[in-house]
Amino acid sequence: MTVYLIRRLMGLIFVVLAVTCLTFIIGHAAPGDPIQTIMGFRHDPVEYHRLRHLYGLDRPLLVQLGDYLWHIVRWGDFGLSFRYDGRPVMSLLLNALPVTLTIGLSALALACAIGVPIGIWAAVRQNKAFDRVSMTLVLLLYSVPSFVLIPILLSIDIWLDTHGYPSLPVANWGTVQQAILPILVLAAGSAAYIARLTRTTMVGILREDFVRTARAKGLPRALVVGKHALRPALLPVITFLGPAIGLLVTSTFVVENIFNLPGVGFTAVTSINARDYPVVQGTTIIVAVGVAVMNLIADLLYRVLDPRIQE
Amino acid sequence: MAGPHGVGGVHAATGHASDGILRMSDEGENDLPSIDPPSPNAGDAQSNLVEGLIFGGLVRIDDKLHIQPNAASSWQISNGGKTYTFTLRKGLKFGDGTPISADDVVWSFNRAFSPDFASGAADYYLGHIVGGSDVTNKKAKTVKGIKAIGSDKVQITLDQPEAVILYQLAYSVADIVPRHLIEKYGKTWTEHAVGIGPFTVKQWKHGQEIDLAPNPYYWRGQPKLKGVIVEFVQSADTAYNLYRTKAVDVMGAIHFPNNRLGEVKSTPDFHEVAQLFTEYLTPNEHKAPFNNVLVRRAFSYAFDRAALARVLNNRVLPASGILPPGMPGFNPQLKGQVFNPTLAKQLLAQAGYPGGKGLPKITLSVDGGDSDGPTKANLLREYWKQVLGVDVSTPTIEHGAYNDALTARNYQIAFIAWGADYPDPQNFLSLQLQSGTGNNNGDYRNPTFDRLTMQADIMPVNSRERYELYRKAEQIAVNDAAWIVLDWAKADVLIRPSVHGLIVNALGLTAPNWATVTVG
Repeated sequence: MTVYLIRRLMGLIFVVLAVTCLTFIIGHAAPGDPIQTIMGFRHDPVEYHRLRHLYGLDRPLLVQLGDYLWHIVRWGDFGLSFRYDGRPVMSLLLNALPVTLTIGLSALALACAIGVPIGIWAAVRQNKAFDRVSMTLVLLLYSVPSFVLIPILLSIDIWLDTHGYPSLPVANWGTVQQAILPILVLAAGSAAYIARLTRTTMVGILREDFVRTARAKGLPRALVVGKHALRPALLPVITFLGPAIGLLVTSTFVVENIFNLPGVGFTAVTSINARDYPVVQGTTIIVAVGVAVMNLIADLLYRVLDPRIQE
Repeated sequence: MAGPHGVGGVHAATGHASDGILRMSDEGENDLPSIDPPSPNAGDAQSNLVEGLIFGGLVRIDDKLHIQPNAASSWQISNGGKTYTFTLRKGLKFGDGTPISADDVVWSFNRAFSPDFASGAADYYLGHIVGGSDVTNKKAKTVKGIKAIGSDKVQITLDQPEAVILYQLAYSVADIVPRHLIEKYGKTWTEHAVGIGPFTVKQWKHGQEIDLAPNPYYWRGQPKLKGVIVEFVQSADTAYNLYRTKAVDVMGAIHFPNNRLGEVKSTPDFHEVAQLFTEYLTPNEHKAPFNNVLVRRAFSYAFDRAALARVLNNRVLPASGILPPGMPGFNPQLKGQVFNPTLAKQLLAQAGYPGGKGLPKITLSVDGGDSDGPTKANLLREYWKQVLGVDVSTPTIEHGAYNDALTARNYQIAFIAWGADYPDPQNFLSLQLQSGTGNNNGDYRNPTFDRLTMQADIMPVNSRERYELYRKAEQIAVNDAAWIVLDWAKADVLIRPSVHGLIVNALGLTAPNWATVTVG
């Protein structure tokens, strides 16, 4: 296990390094640069070249990349943002990260907490009323994109507010109430997917020989389902957790924008548009590490749950 | 939801019992890039909104767009209009009580010109101050043309009698900054920013809002407001929702969601004022076919600007000239760019392309950063096809790449806009269209235009003759279709009736005197 972990961690470092270098090169090679954003409507070539020199952008690409990596390795310095005067990249991102992590992980936890029980019950009650109704609702929820769901929820909420009923805040971050709508929205799609996934897997498992054997032995159904069938049923869900983080990262962009949350999502999009290279790089590194770590955790959980998986 | 009691209804449950704090939304950003006045990153609209509450310079522009004293209580003009001697107000202090002397003012200017702020904003706006460029280009350490005389006089010398220097000195790049804080805190000094404006920074919650406290040393009086909270709201729609749920008292100063205009137009909260902002097409005079003035004019006459305004929900005015209404020197008698399909066809034929035959392939570049870009482009394409018989392609180009293309002059005709830095025709005409100026994207060159505007540039601001010269120049540029104008923008702002003392003018949201603004 230790050897496996070490190998995976080394692989993680390699992946992050490769992603960093690739993003750096592609980012700089793409048209547009931070100078244009700074200059706004002005397009004066003299000013342009002066600013380019100030930011060190007129040096050869590999020199810039080497300098960047050296600063990280030697001083843990990820540079200063081009756009947000004097602010270190990592401090900017580390302020934003807790917000994104809170809603992302809460949404994922909520999605599992809702989706798994529904999926299990639907499988146990296969083709009966609960199964049909729940799976239809789940399909609806799954098909509605967040940018449709959000305005619907917000309209309801604002109607409640303007007519004097209790309501939730429509935006911003800081209180528990302000986190509710964003987490619900983020959880919706994943919960639906997890419910369907669990149901399908569970239906298959309930047909397996070992389940029939357990029932034939006279074990109560609750025990069969809860103890024997649950573990294998969860495997696809756990496999899904890895890519789920990737999906959440993209979904948070929309949610953070509309609910005005100071998370990584909006910072990332603004930096890309403004070509704020240091922040783009920093975001890429953080997201790459996050996704790689989540995948590692998912793999480890998988190994714990399924003794058939060997090195 | 918008009724006689204003937007938000009578019974809104959330909101703040009046605590004397004004809450405004600053739309389009999650955080301010910078509020350090000479910084290249401090020029965006969102940052300017906040800077204006904290800082000020020797002079200011009042709500009627006139120059008024600010840090300087008076000034003398001498040496044929080339020398300005400002007398600082007695007892002038920063927001933390530190007194301000002439040396502090000179220090601020030297800092603004320094190569550390190589954006050259100082060089651009204050370029006629003797020795300014030398500092930016590292040829000198201090600006020769700015010096302190005694402890309360600042003398500025220009290389020509530049009429708009007072307007330029009112621009944020000339704001007085606190040397003692900058030397103490370095790059993070703006977290504790103080200036000569009505408010100071109490706490900057990055990614969320900036909390301002009233400046007890504000020379126009202690502000009645207990504070101002400017919330950074990424989406204009979200800002609107915050307004409806009474979480903010003012919204729309930067961006207003167009699709909500219908809901609010008839409420007392709504303010709509035409801005000093012109959207236009810039034809590249280095490339065929827009190097031909007849072709430019043909395309200009071939579409209906009123139809364009309608398709944008009338949140803009159809433009006919370069200077927007509300700009001093605006010419209501201008023979402007209008819809005249017959003339358009004639001009195109005269140019040698009857019915559009023989024209090279034409591309109208559309800015991916403008959500209305495709709408406007589609309309233009339709008109040009029907009236001139020309097929124009209208690719949307990603914002960063778009800016690149404009700077490199890699386009035939493209969307662009200009908003006034200060309310004077020089900002639109001389700075944008004189031969060889940095912002003259299409490289328009007309010696008569140059002569007229350069003459006007050095006349005293208020002379009638000066506006006459600019009017003549504008007519020339309009006839030459140097810009193919589209529309003049409007500001749409919601201000809760409980807020007193705020107005919207041609430069946006402002107050005749922030010291007297109250809420609740």
